[in-house]
Amino acid sequence: MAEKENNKKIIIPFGPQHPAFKESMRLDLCVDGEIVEYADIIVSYNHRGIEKAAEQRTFLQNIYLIERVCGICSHSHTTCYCAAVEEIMGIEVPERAQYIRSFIGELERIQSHLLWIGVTGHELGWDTLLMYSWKDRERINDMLERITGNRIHYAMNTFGGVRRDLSPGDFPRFKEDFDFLEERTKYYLHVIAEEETFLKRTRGIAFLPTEMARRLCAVGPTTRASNVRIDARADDPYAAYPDLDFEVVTHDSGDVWARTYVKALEILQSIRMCRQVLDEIPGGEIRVKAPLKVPEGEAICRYEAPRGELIHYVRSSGGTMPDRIKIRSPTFGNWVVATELLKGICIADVPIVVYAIDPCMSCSARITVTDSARGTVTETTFDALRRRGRQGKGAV
Amino acid sequence: MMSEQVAGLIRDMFPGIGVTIPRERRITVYSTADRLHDVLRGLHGAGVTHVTTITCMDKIERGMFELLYHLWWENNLITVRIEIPRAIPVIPTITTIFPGALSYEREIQGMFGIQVENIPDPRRILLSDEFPLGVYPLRKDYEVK
Repeated sequence: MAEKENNKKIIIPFGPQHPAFKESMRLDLCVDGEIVEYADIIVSYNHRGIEKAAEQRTFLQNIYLIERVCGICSHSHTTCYCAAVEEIMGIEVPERAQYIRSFIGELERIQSHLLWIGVTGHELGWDTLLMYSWKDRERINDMLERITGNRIHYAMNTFGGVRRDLSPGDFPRFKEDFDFLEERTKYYLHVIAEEETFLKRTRGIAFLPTEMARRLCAVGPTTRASNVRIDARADDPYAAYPDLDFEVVTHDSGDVWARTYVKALEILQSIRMCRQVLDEIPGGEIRVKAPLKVPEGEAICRYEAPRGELIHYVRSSGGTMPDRIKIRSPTFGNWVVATELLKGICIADVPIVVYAIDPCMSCSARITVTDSARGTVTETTFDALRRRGRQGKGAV
Repeated sequence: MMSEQVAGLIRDMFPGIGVTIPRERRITVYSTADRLHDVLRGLHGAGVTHVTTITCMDKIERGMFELLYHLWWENNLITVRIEIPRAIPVIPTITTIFPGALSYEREIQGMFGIQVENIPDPRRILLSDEFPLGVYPLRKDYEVK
């Protein structure tokens, strides 16, 4: 590796592949010694042309396409899309189906947040936290598999309602699982709030002021951790959320710690809502018959996905295929924020700052050190960089 | 705020502008490209800060691009709609008012070929480096092979 010189600017590309994430993205970090001066985010690697592909498929086929926008918030996408199409159709989804949609949505949020807590531990060098939280997460995956047949891509939604019902015989077991998960989440909250090494790595890191969060249109737990109270379940309620009791979790610290704390508290709120669904789900049909053709019209639906505000715009010109489907997923709304948060932080903190916005991204193992004075280019690895971060070793 | 209140506020701010309420918590404002900045600046002055996204639609049969600027404010999604000619698809940036809209402007620039004037970061987004320049895949005349 090239030796460090005080005046050497280093561009470190993080990306575009990493097995832990769902999308490929690249960060180019311009660093001066240990400090990131600015960051550039390239989000193009995993673009699959889904909006274009959706224009070549029927509305019904698009449920299965749109479910695959994301693996970890697949239900968010199909619920949002189906709700938009149902609005154009002018049909009303039965109450029981709305409760089931919200139930699956909250299970999805719990497993997403538990996954994220584990990855946070991993990026800070504590694989034990990863193992604990991912093991606990298996309870949710087992529940989802019991209800839907799948651990991801549940294929629950269709136009007019849902495709599978909840079975009351499963409810006692589900309630035991929620009791277990509530206890475990309280343990994680204790670790987040009290563990000295965790506090040292996350308190005061990548502070996002409330004003900046608003100005840069941040969404989700990232913005709620900066005291911006925006949550589509509360301010634009859909599915069963008008009937469910929950708190919108916010915090005013605005740092990586606050983003972690908010997500853990949101798990407790999700468990609260899931219990309410099990106690209060109304009887009746799980779907109504939807018209074969989608009439001319448009609709916009907002959904609070685990990562934040998700929006689907659907336009039909009365044909078999949509005229336009526009999807803005929450992570796309947070990248401008992420580039700001990376300024002025240490290289060692880059993984946790990026993961704190809970991105759908991948990052690679390739890091290029460019010495413009000598005209040399050398490479190191992301794993080596992560080891440096954990061990507090010196410069590249 | 109720949708009727928000719609009333917008009508008072911009006399003569078309405002409809398709359903609760959804408001549509019909504007023109030359008024867009005034409308958005006025909304920003009233307290709107959150741009949800910018939707672009290719109305090839009429030779127009339709742009929808979705803003979330006071529990209402305000959609400001404008149209620009397909032959001269130029629009000024709104990042001077809403800095968080940068990603969405880059997206419509790359995917539809809309030229966003004075955009702080004009680099193409979402498309791979090998994707040919000057080809805009979300336009209706782009054929998927």
